[in-house]
Amino acid sequence: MEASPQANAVPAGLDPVWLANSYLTRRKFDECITLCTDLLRANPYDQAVWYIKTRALTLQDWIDDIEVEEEGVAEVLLDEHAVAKAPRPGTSLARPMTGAKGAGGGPSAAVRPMTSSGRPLTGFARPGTSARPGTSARPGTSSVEAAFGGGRPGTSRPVTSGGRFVRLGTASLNSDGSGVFINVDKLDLRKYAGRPQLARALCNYILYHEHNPKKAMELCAHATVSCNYKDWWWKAQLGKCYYQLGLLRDAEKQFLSSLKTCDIVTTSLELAKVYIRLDQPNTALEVYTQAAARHPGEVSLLLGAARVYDALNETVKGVELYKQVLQYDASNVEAIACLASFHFYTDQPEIALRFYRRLLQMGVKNAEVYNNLGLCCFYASQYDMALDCFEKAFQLADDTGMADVWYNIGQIAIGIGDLGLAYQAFKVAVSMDSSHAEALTNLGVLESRKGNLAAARSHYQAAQRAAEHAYEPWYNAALLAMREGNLEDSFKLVNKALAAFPDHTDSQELHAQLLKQFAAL
Amino acid sequence: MVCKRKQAVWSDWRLVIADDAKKLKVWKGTSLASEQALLQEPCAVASFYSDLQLPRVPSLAVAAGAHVYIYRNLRPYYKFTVPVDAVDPQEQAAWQSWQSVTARREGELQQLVEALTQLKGSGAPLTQPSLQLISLHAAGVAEHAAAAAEQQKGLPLARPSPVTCMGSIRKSLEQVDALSCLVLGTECGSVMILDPTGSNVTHTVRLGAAPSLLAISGLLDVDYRIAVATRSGRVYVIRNGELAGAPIELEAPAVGLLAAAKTLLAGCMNSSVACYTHKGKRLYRLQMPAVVHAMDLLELTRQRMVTCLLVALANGEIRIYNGQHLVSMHSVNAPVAALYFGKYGREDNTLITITKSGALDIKILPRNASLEAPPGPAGPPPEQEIPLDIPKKTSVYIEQTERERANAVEMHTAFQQQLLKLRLLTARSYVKVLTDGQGSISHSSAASLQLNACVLGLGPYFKIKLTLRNNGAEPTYDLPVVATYKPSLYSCPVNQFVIGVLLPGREYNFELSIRSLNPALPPDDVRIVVVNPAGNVPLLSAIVKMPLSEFEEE
Repeated sequence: MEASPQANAVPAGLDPVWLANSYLTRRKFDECITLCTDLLRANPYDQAVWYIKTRALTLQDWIDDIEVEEEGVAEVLLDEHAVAKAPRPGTSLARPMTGAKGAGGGPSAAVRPMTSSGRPLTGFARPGTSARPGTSARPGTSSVEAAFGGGRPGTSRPVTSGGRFVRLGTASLNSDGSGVFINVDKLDLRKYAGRPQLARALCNYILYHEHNPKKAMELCAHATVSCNYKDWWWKAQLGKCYYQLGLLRDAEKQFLSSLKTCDIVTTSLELAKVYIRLDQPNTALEVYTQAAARHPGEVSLLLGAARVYDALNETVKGVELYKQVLQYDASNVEAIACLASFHFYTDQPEIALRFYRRLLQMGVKNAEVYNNLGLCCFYASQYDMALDCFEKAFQLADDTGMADVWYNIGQIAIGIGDLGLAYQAFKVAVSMDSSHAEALTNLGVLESRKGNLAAARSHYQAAQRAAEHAYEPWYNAALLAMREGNLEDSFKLVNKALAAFPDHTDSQELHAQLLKQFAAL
Repeated sequence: MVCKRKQAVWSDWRLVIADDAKKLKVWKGTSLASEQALLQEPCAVASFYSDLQLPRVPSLAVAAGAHVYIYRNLRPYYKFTVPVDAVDPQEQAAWQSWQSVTARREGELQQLVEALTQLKGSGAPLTQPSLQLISLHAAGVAEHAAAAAEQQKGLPLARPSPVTCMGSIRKSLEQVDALSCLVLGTECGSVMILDPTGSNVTHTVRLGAAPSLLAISGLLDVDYRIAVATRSGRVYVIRNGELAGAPIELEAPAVGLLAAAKTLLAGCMNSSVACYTHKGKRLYRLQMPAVVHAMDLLELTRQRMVTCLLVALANGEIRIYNGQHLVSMHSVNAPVAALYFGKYGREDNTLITITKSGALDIKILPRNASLEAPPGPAGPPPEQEIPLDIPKKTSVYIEQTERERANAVEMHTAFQQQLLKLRLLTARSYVKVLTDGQGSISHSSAASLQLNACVLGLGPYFKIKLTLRNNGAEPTYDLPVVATYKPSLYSCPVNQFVIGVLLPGREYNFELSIRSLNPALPPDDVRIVVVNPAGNVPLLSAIVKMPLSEFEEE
């Protein structure tokens, strides 16, 4: 975007305010802002220009906060909203349904992998949603350190989500270098609350540009009073402010009241978000279903419900919703990706192949899609195309994706029985991401087949550290300890494996065998 | 109230609980009727009728240590002390000869220990000081052994025999309130039957192993059987004062022992319950899903004649078996510590469970509860009829197989070509990993190291935690570690150090403190490099993605 000096020169005979508005509607925010700044320098009290500049600044920094769900350290560590300390399975996101019985017929944890933070894997990665280090969910780790760590190992999470917004705000100010446009602290909010149009622009500006939910809340409170508590928009904004401040129960009240006044899809989405943050997925689902009944054909509500089902490991119900989404919107990337991964893990790679091909046709070209295509081709026995896809994936992959691609190469190598190739591929994967638990576990198994028991054990231990929620490293280490005659260690390890995945038959058998040994001693 | 173990028994249709907190509690209905302090931790409780007076009031016996405290009308009445066992004369002689010598010489202690060890080997039961001396000597702490031997000087040798289990047997009549006697099992391996007053031992049977559970049936003056489970995992049957036949060898040590009409039911530590005849023949074995915690008999005698087995398991389940058939099952929230079925208050059939968490749960058997075993042999489980959930082969799959059949050769050659290419690529990348030290795991021939780095803190002061591990077989020495970063963004007071030694298989933690100089600027990566002292390529390197730094508070 080159804001050349010519752009600022208003052509003769053209009203500069009209031009600024035109820039705004054409989303040329930089030009719009410079023009407005010039105009305001000439006449600081021009309300129209002020409005246009406020809108431009807001739209420049605007993010779709319905999709973003990032929790800071403070939210994770000082989470006082949990309703039950030990929730029943399926009623909390921290304790999704495990096992074939609970999962409502979907693929069990033995087949469907977990994300690096121990949440059920879906076909689509979104910001913030895949990582939530529960402070109580993972006993044994020092929870504070776990909370500070980000989704990927070696990264860290922001102190508070509010803090992240503030930092974004200050960073944008720094890059501007032009100083503050509106000094919110000095504004008489009561005066603005009386002028609905200006107040709305100002409210959005405070929320999205200034990132000052406290001040925005003040403005919203004045405005709701001035319209006799009848305006849904102000109530929804008030709810958003409360949500950003972490006052979830207040936010819930505001959103409910706003919905009563006027039934709007975004408000329902935000209300469901509040329930998800409160760790009440079933209430969130209720909100989604009721709203979806009132707004048939609204894809975002269906997607929201499907995501919650996925997170609860009730994949089959989620899949039904994704299918509905595709009926309304045939090119919804998330729905296609999730359906593809579902079919892949339920032993129908040929169907998954079709879905991924559709993604490619729609122009989604990244390493992950090619990687998945390769896997689907391989397992659907279309061997001539499988490795081509991996080659493309290598070309497109970045640092984090590369390790996964190499891991999958290792899987293919195991599939064709070339253990040497698998060993090399896993080694490369581990060198790229030293906490790739799956690759480490497979390396351990390969090492133990070679007879290098010490190396195998150290690989398992590294995998256990990297992914405490995965049962494979625990089980394999237990098997190794059992073979070495170290029954006590084996028992401890197999108990960990069973804690991670209670229905794992092999672990159960090993556990029973160990109990028999102990009883015989 | 934290109690690990509790015992309960019936007397006058009240519930008596003696718990580990040294309290004797009596419950009547749903309220606590009385509570008394005990002198020692109780190990068993029993009730018996010691006389023929009317109204019939039972006596209550609480065994603790080597004593049995007998209560009448909930007042302490009498204390019975288990007679001290005779000490082996040879052991006595060995100690005496050692103690009689006034001037100590080298090797005398050795002589004493040898004499005692020989005695132990010949199977004689030794006293506590002798056993302690032998074990101290065997552990190689000679001065402690000598001190222990000196301590014993002047004290008489004795074998006190604490009570391990207790029950009661009716003397000559079948009625519930007939005259009855106490039966004790003691630590030194004998079973004693007292007279009805509880003051004299009338029968003693020596088993040779410490009994842990008693199951009593029959009448003392007519015909009786006492099955005794010992800690060594055997069940001895005492019939009319004599040991009958060879002991029954259980699969695992017993946790529960019950005497039903003509059979013995033994719950074992391997989560099974086995049913034996009194002669020792095993009739059947029930496998439980979890470890057995407590067992009792469910006997209905009034309207219906049913005898069932109640088993409480470690997973909180309480199961009722009629013969080999599971007839009912319910679950309490916590593992059960004690379980009793019988008359309580005015209700004939109540089930009382005490859980490990200290909760007391009383249930009444419904009149119409079905406890009959299902007729006929048990068939295959119903799960067998449910077909496996295997997805159907789709039409797409059929099309693909047709394509495969048509172009098999081309597909194969294409795949083989690509596979060769892939092998080459993999081998190249693998060699690159081995040689260039870019990754955080090194597999070079000299050292097999693994490095994990993570960053802690909010900023502007951070701490980088390094975890190094040597997976090789040989220790490595003198490895320099260097942190590289943009000096305009970060400062680190100690940015290089040398690790003296890395032993194989151990994990080493190191910390680097680093400071962000300008928190307003976007963060950058910090690279941790483990330098190879021999070559010019690093052994390992790890990239730490620094987080956004907070501003420093002034």
